[in-house]
Amino acid sequence: MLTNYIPLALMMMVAIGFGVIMANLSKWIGPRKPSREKLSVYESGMVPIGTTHERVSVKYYIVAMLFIIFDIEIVFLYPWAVTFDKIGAFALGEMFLFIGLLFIGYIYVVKKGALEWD
Amino acid sequence: MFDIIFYIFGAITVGGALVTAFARNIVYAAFSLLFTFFGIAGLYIMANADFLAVTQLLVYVGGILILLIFGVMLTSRIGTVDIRVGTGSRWVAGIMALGLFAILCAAFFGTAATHTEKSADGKSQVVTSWATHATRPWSGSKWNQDATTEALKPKYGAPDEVKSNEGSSGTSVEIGTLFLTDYLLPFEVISVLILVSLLGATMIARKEPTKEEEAIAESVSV
Repeated sequence: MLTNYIPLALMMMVAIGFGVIMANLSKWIGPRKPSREKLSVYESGMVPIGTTHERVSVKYYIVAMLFIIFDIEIVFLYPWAVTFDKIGAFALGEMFLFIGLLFIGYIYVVKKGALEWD
Repeated sequence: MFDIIFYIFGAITVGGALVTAFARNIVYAAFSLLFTFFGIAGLYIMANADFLAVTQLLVYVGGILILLIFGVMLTSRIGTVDIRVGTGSRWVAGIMALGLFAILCAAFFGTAATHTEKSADGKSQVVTSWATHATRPWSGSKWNQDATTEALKPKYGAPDEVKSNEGSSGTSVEIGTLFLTDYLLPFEVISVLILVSLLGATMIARKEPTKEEEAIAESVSV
């Protein structure tokens, strides 16, 4: 029932609260003496080049896409993991088959060079 | 209390969706989609579909939304593009929306919500009640008890066997058991499906460098 989720709700509240407070703490209690130099874009001490709307390499997209596919694989691991002790060796074999099939895909991806940063 | 949380999640979902639909800046639209996905996960939890909620968070919030934001970042000058389309097809859109609304209403009022009740002799029995009576989610009383999971059971599982979802494990144990017993083949077919999407994504997204480009790349690296 919903009472099971109270720890989860608490954790989320703490996480959100921590994030908001930490991000704003320096703004609230720190002194503010803005100058031209301070207000310029911080780029590790370098003079900023170009705009912030820079195009990101399409490489990221491929990696993100492959990530989602393996993410979905992970989702199926959860119900398997909680029933593993009940079903035993059969479940283990099944999961080997499941992951083995995807491993073929992984080999294909690596061979294809989709994970290389050239 | 249950109702209040339900409305909060509902408001998050609808509010996020409205911002997504009406935002002029596509980045804001993508980020407000986060709230919609999150609210839907909350609603899944309210319906006792905890596995689905976790999946929603893991796949949609953690994956697809990131992909969407990447898509926004990858597109050049997308910030200056006005993403709102013309109003030429307003009537068609209205009719489509009304039709969808009617279908959803029919599905909602036609779905039986079953819940377990202790009868006088102490045995638990499944009670079926329809949404048109006093069991609407906003009236609160009976709907929250295992409604969704129990409602699906007579269709997909043994109707005489009513398990309660006591304990913290929730529905994932049942889902896992069904995957490894009755629905073994679909489970393995999912693996094949993921494999196919993996290969397809790689095929489409990864452009094979031509001989010329390879030569150029080599000469550059040397």
